[in-house]
Amino acid sequence: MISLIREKIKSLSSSEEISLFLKHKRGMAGLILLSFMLFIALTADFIAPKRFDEVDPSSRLLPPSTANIFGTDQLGRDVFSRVVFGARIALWVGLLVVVIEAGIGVPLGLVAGYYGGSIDKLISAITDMLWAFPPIILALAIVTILGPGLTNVVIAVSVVSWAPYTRVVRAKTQSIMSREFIIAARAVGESSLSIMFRYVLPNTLSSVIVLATLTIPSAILYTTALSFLGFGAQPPTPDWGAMLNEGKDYIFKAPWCSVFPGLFITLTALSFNLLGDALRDVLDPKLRLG
Amino acid sequence: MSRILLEVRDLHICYETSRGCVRAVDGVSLVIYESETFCLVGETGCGKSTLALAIPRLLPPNARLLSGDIFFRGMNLLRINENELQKIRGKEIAMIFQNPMTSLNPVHMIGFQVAEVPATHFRISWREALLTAIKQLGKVGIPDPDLRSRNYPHVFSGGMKQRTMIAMMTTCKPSLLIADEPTTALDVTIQAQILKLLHELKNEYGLTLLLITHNFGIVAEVCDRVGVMYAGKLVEVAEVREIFENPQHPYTKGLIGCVVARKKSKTRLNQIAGAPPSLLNPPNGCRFHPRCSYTTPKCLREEPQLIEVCRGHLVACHNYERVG
Repeated sequence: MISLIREKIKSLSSSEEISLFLKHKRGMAGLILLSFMLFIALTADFIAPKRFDEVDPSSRLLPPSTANIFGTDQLGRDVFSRVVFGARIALWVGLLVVVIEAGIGVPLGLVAGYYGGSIDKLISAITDMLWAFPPIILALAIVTILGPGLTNVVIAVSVVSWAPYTRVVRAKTQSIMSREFIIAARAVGESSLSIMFRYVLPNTLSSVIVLATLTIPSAILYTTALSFLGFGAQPPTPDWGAMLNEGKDYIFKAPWCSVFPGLFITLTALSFNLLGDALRDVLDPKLRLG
Repeated sequence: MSRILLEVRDLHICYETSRGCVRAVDGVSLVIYESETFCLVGETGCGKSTLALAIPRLLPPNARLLSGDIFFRGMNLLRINENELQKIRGKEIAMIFQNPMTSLNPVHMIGFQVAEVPATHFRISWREALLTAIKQLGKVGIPDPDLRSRNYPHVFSGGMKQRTMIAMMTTCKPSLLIADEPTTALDVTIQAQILKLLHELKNEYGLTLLLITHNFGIVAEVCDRVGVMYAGKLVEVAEVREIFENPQHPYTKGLIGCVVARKKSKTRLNQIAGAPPSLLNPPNGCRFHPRCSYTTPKCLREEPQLIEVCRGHLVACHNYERVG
């Protein structure tokens, strides 16, 4: 089994996809930007000159300078340090949301596409209902019930936005089900579960990967939006959305308090979008979500 | 002849379409004996593939089994549940499909796919399954099977893919191998190789082969007995020599007449006039009567039943005496 995996990696690294991706300029820009974000998130402890919750009443709302390159906020905390630690939260939350979304959406899509009939109708009806709601409103409602907090925001955002996964995987499954190798798999006595997970799922993975990179930015945007509204991370957690919220009162007096977190939100979302577009072009040119 | 392996009794299958029920298999009964090669011949759309798919119950979702029974070693395949069926598929009854290009999963390595079969049916480790797979790949004539087992299907040629399918389907030494036009998608030299391979495996494992084809060359080459289908019905069953030397049904006679003869160049190819009937509402009486040159008023009214004209030779025609 291990040798199998090694073979797969070997054939992957020499594959056409990789060289195609390396030639994709915007994709590479996205990858570099994302690597930068990942780097600051992983090394935040060393990069940040101060702790994110280190309050200094004597130096409140100072403009950017050599001591505080992004300035300080209303409590005298270093904005740069907070932004750097915030990258950790944003990326982690984005990843977590996508994993949960895929965890809900992919199996449902597989089951709906595989069995069809009334099971498909039921799952599709639920998915359609979810599409019909504005996600942020529904997420707000869920957070209101669960109470504020980062975990609850993650749950709320995941629960409202798994529908695209179900849609995409269901459609892919249906097209794969009509392929002859599925009949061949049944002809050698494979069980339904085995066909779903070992024959159909690997064939849908390229679409799921593309969809995941394209939904990470929206996941990050939703969570920061909820944090901005005060439902997400509670102070003193350096969540970018929460920082925007705190900074908005001083937007004219000390714009750096909100500009820098906002810039980082934009850059992170942009990096994932660029990367996702490139992956889509390379892995799955047919999947264009408009 | 030896013992009966498979018996199909009065099988009716239809496809539900928006325009009505297409009766693809309409009252077919046949018997296949152990370790023989039985050929099912007929035009495209006459129901031969549907019949083949019905045996391991792999019909598409819009197909409906109206009535009938399929006995495999005394077990009614149409009555047992899905779990029991999964144990039979691949182990007792295996099937090879027409298009090897799409019959393999593009995301798994060849060796992995073949190894799946013994790993599913026997309690063996993955490593053993993989070794079995490599051995079987070598057996079906894949050169350098150890290395090739780590290839993905897209690097294989059509012939190699079909060999891989055969390896997959024979690793468990099934007793019945259904081959649904296994050579149609391949070029002629590869066709011959694949047929030879099937024949060798059949002799070695003693398996029974149900071969579906519309190629009379293949029939003459490998078959023991032949069943001719027309418009969802079996119209003639006989041993292969008998079919070629003494065809009793006008349709069989026409089909054999269509085969290109090597010596008679410069003559027009024979053909059967007309087109096969729509199975949505087949003609009354004998389904072949609109195209038949022996039609009598009885053919329009009454449907002929299969009758034994001589030992082992069954014909469904009112006028077989005039035809033969």
